Amino acid sequence: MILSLIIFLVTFALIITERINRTAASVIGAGLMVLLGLIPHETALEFIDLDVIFLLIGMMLVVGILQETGLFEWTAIWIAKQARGNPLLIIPGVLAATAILSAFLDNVTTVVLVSPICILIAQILEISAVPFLAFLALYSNIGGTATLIGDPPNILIASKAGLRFHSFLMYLTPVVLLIALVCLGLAWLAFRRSGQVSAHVRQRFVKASPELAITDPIRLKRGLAVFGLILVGFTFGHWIHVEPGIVALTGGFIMLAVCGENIRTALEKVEWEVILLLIGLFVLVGTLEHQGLFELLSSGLLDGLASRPAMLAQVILWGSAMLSALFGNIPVVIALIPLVNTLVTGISATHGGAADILWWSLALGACLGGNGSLYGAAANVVTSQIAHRNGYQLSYGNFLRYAIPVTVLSLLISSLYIGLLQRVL
Amino acid sequence: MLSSVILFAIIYAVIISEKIERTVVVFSGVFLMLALGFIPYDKALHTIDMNVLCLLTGMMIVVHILAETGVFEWFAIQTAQVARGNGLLIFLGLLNVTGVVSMFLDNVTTLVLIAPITLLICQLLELDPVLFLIYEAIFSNLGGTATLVGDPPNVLIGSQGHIPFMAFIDHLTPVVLICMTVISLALIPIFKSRLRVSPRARAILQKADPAKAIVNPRLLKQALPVFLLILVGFFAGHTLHLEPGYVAIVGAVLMLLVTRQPIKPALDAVQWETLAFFTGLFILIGTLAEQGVFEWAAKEVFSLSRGNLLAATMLILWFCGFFSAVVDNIPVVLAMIPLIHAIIPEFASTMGIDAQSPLLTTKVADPLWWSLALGACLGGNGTLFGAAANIVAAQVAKKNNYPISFNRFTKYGFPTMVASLTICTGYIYLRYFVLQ
Repeated sequence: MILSLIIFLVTFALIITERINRTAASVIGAGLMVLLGLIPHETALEFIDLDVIFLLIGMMLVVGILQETGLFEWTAIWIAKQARGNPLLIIPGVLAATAILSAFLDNVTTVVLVSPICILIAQILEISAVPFLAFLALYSNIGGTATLIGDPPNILIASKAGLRFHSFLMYLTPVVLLIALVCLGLAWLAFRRSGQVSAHVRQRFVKASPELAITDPIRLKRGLAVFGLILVGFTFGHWIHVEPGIVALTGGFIMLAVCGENIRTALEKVEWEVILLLIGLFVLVGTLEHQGLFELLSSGLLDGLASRPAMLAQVILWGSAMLSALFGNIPVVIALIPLVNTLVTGISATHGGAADILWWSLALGACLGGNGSLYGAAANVVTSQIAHRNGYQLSYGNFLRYAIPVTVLSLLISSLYIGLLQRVL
Repeated sequence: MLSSVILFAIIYAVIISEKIERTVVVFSGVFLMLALGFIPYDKALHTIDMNVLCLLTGMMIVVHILAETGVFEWFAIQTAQVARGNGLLIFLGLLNVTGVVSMFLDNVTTLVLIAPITLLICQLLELDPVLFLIYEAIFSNLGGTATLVGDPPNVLIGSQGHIPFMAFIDHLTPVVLICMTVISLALIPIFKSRLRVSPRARAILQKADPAKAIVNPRLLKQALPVFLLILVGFFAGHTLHLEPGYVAIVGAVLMLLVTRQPIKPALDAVQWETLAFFTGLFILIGTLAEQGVFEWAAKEVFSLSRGNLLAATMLILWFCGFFSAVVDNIPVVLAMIPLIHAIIPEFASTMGIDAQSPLLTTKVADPLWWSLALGACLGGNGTLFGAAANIVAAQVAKKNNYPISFNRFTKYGFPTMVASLTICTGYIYLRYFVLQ
C-alpha cells in the first residue's frame, strides 16, 4: 500500500505542476501501478467509469456541432444585452443559471455546455475569463449537490442508502440554495476590480442584435431538435435503463448525421487528452482503493467516534471533503459508503431516523469537497481543459485561489446546518 | 432471445448497406438493445473489450510517430528494390511476411504496422493498394491461427482448455502453413495481370535512395528503442500477465514523452471512428451473448452430431467458421469452450476410453479443441466484420481514399475462408481419424 501511495503522490505532483504533460503523467503512473502488480489488469479496467467517459465524448460532440451554428454567441450576446453589459449582473446570472442547470444535468455536461458561453461573454466584455471559468466549475458542483441526479456522489449514495428524490429536495436543496447565495458574495469580491467594463463597451450591447450571430439556422434547428431529444433521454432514460453515457454518445452520433457533419473530423474535436487523463486518474485512484487505503483511513478515523453521533457527522463531513479534494469525490464516496452504512445501522438502533444525517454529511462533504481542488471533481478537470484549449491557463494553483474560499465557506455553512439538523431531529 | 437476434440482423443489414454512417447505426442499435431490456446497462459497458481499444489507440499513436521519421518509406523502398520491382513477388512477399509476423504479434498490430509500408509501395509502383490491404488482413488472420499468442480465440482456448504453447505449434502450425502456401499459389494466376509494374515506375524505383527517406534521423533514434521495448512487452506480456492493449497504450505515451512530440496531433491521428464502431459492436455482440444466443447455437451443434465424434468435429469447424464470419469470434469461442469441456467425457464413455487414459487427449479432446480453434480463427476471413484486422484494413484504406466496401472484402475473403476450412477438413480427418 505504501508503494502505491508513493507512486500516486509522485504522479499527482507531476500532474499538478505540469512539469510533463499531465495526460502522459497520469497514463504512465497508472501503467506503473499495473506493471508492479499493485492492481490486477482486469480490476484496473473495471475502475474506468465508462459511463462518465461516454457522457463526456458525447457532450463534446454535441457542443462541437452547436458551436458552429453560432448558438453560443447568440446566447452570450443575448445575456449581455439583457443585462446592458453590466458584468456584476451578468456573472451572478450565469452562475445561478449554471447551478440550476447542474442540479438537473450532470456537472460535466453542464460545464461543457456553459463554458463556451462564459468564454465568449468574457471576450466581448473584455474581462478575464479565468475566474469566471473557475466559478463556473465551482457552481456546477454546488448546484449538483442539491438533487439526487445532480452529482455522481449523490446518485451513488441514494442507490446504496435507499434515499428518495424528494428527501434530497427536502434536506439538501435548502442548504445548497443558501450556500449558492452566500458564495455569490465571493464571486462579487473576485470580480469587483477585474469586472469593470468601460461605458463604450457597455453601449455596444444595447444596440447589439444577437440574431446576427447565428451562422447556420438550418443546422441549428436540426441540432437543437436532437439536443432536445438528448435532454429527454437524460431525464427519462433511467426508466428504460439507458444511462446518460449511452444517451449522450448515441445522441451525439445522431446529431452528427442529422446535421450532415463529417464524423471523422467531428471526432477529432473531442478533447481526447482529457479523456485519457481521466482514464489514467480512474486507474490511479482505483489502485489506492484496491489496496485498501480509503478503508484504512476512514475506519481509523471513525472507530473511536462511533458512540458520539454529533461529532461523527462533523468528522464525516470534513473528512470526506478533504479526501474528495485530494483524490476526487467519486472514488472517495464509493469507499466511504460501506463504512457510513455500518455506522448508520449502528446508530439508528438508538437514534432512529436521525441516523440518516450521516448520509447528508457524506453527500455535502463529497460534493462540496469536490470543489477543493482541480482534481476534486471531473467537472473541474474538464473546465480547465476547455480553458486551456481557448488559450486560458486555469492551472491547479489558479483554481485553488478561487476554490479554497468557496469550499471553506460552503463547508462551514454545511457544518452549521448539520449541527442544526441534529438538534431538530 | 429471438427478438434480440432479429434486431441484431436488422442492424447488421443496415450497416452492410452502408447507407447511413455505421457509428450512428451501431449506437442506435445499442440504445434499442438497452431500452428493450436485452442487457443491463452495467453489463453492456463490461462487454466492451478495452484491450482491443487500448491496443488500437496505442499502436495508431506509435505508427503516427514512426511515420514522421520516414522509416516506413525506407522499408518500402528497400522491399521494392530487393524484389526488383516485381509486383507479384512483392505481393506474395508482403502477404507471407504479414502471416508470419501475425503468428507472434497480434493481428491488428501487424496490420497497423504493415499498412503504411504497403500503401507507400503501391504508390511507388502504381499498384492497387486495396488488393494488398484486403489480402494482408486475410493473411494476418491465417498466420494468427498458428500459435497460442497469434489470435485472441487461441489465447482463450489455451487458457481455458489448459493447452500448452507447444501443442498449438504441433497441431495448428502445419495446417496453417499449408493453407498459406496453397492460397498464395492460387492467387498467382488470379492476380498476375493486375500486379504488372510499368517500366517507367520500375525505372523511378531503381533510382530511389532509401537512405534519403529517413527525414528525421534524430526522432528515429529516440523512437526505435521505445518501439523495441513495446515489442518485448508484447512477447513477455503473456508471462507477466500484461495484456497487449496495456503494453501498446503505455508504450505509446512513453514514446511521446521520450520523443517530446506534442500529444494533441498524435491523438488526432487515432482513428476514433473505428474505435467508436468497435465499442458499439462489442455491446451488440455482448447482448447476443447475454441473451444466450451463442449457448443455444452451441448446444444445437452438439445435438446435431448425435454422438458421432467425426460429425461433431466437422460441425464445430464449419459452424464456428460461418458464425465467426458474421459476428466476432470471441463470444463464439467463449460459448463453445464449456460445451466442449462437457462433451469430452461423454464421447470418452461411448468410445470406451478411461477418463485417466492419455488416449482421452489424443482421440477425443484434440480433434474437438483444434477444430474449434481453426473454425473460429479462419472464419474471421469470411466477411469484413469477421475480424478486427479486417475493419482496421478497411479503415486505413478509407483514410487514403481507397474505400473497401463490405462486398468487396467478402468477394475475396469468403472464398479464402471456404478454401482454408476445406483444407482443415482434410487435415482433421486425416490426422485424427485416419492416421491414428
